[in-house]
Amino acid sequence: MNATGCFFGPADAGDGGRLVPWESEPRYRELLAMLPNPIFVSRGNRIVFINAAGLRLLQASDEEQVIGREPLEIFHPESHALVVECCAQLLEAPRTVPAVEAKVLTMDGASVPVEVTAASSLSDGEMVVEVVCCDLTERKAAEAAIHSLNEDLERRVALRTEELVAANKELDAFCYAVSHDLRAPLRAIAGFTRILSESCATKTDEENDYFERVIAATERMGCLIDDLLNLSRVSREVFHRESVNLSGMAEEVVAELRRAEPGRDVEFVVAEGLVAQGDERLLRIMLENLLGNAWKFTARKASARIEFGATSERGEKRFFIRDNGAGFDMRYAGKLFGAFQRLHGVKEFPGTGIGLATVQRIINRHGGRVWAEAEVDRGATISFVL
Amino acid sequence: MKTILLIEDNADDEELTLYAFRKSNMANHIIVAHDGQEALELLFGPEDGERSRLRLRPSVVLLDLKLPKVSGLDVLRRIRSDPRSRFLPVIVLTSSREQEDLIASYRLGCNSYVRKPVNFLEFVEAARHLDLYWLLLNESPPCK
Repeated sequence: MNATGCFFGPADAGDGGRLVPWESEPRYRELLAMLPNPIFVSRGNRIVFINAAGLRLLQASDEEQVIGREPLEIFHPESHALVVECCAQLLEAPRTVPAVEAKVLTMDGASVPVEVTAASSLSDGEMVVEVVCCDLTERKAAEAAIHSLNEDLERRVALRTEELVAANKELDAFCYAVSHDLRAPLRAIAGFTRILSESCATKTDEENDYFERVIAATERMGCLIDDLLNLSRVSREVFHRESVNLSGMAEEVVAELRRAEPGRDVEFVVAEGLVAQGDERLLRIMLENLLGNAWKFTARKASARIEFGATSERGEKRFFIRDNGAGFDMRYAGKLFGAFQRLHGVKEFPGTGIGLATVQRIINRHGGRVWAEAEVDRGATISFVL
Repeated sequence: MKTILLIEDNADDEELTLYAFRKSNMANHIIVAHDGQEALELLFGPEDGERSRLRLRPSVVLLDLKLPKVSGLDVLRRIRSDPRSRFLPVIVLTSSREQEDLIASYRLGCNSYVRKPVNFLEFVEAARHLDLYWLLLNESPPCK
C-alpha cells in the first residue's frame, strides 16, 4: 500500500457504503486542490476530480472541461496502450502503478510528457482511481541538453584524439629521422676524422689530442641521440601490464654490468621475490638506468655495494636501490629527474643526463612515484612506488 | 672472385664502408648500388623479363633501409619473392634501431641485422666480422 493508497484508505468490496476520504472530508479535497502536482481522480471510468495543477497541465480553463470525461481521453494516443495496461494492473493487488512515463493531451492538442503514479480502490462496487502526475517537460529539456552536450563532448574528444594520433605519428616520423639521419653525418665525422688521424703519421701530441676530442665528441653525441630515442620510446610504446619478477631482472642487469666491466668488484645484494605489476620492457629500461647509475657512481669506492630491496609502508610497497657511491648534494635533488640535468662533471662520471628522466617517465606511465635521498660521498637511495 | 653488393645512398657511408672493407684486407669485389631501383636492375636486369639466371650473383647483399625510390624493405621483399634470389644472403646495414624496422626486416627474411656504429673503429671491426663470416665461413646457398 503506498502513501496515496493509505491516504484514501483501503476500501474493500465488503465495507458497503463507506465513502473514500476525498468525498467525505472537505479538508482532504482542499489539500489535494493545493498540491503542486497535477492530480485527478476517476470513479467508474469518469473523471470526478481534478486539481488546479492538473488543469494547468491540460491547459484547461475550468474543471468542467475535464470532469465527466473518460481518463483515457486526457492521454495522448501514443500512450493509450500503456494506460490500458496500467488499468489492468490496478484491478489486482497491490492495486498500484509505479511511476511510468506517458504523454497527456492538452486542450489545444499538444502533448506533454509526464510521470504517472496511480492507485485504485473500490467504493460502492465502483473502481476509484487516484492519479498523480509529474510534469517532465523541464526534465526532458534538461536531459536533451545533457544529451546534446555529451554528443558535443564526444565529437570534441574524437577530434582531439584524431589530432593526438596525428601528432604521435609526426613524433614517430621525427624520432625515426633522428635515429637514422642524425647518426649518418655523425658517422661521417667520426669515420673520416679517424682515417685522417691514422694517415697523418707525424702529429704533435696536441694535434693527436684534438683528433681524439673530435672523435670523443661524436661518440658522446651518438650516446645522446640513443638516450633521447629511448626517452621518447618510453612514452610511445604500447603498455602491457603483467606480473614482473624484479629480483630476477635486477640480477640479469647486474650480470650484464659485470660482463661489461669485469675489473670492477661490486657487492650486489638483492632481496628475493620482489614482484611488481607493470610493463616488462619498460621496467627493464628503468632497472638498467637505476642499477647502471649505482654501478657508475660507486666506481671510486674501494668496497662498492649496491642493494635492491623493498619496504612496506602504509600498505604500499616501496622499492629502493641504495648504493654507497658518490651521492649528491640534496640541494640539487629537484633537478635530478629533469632531462639533460647532471649533478656531476662529465669527466668525473660520464653520462648524458637523460637516464633519470627516462626512469621518471616509466614510473609516470605506471602511475607511481620516484624520489631520491643522498649525501655527498655517502651514497644515494632511489625509492619508487609502482 | 666473391662479390658483395652494397646498396647505400649516402656517399659518406659508401666511402666509409668501402674503406672499412679495404682495411679488413679481404680482397673482395664490392659493387655499389645507390638506390633500390638500381640494385634491382643490377640483380634482375633492366626489365622484369623472364630470365633463367640472375644478372648479378653476389655472395652477400649489404642493404641500407632508407633508400630513395625503392626502399630497402621493398628491395628485400623483391629479392625474397623471386625464386632466383630467395636464398641470397641479405644483411640489413642501417642506422635505425627502431623496433618496427627490426621486426619488418626479419619478417621479410633478412639473414642478419647490423646497426652501423658511430665509432669508426667499431665499424671497421663490424665490416671485418661480416666479411669473415659471410664470405669465408658461411656456405652460400646454390644460386641460379
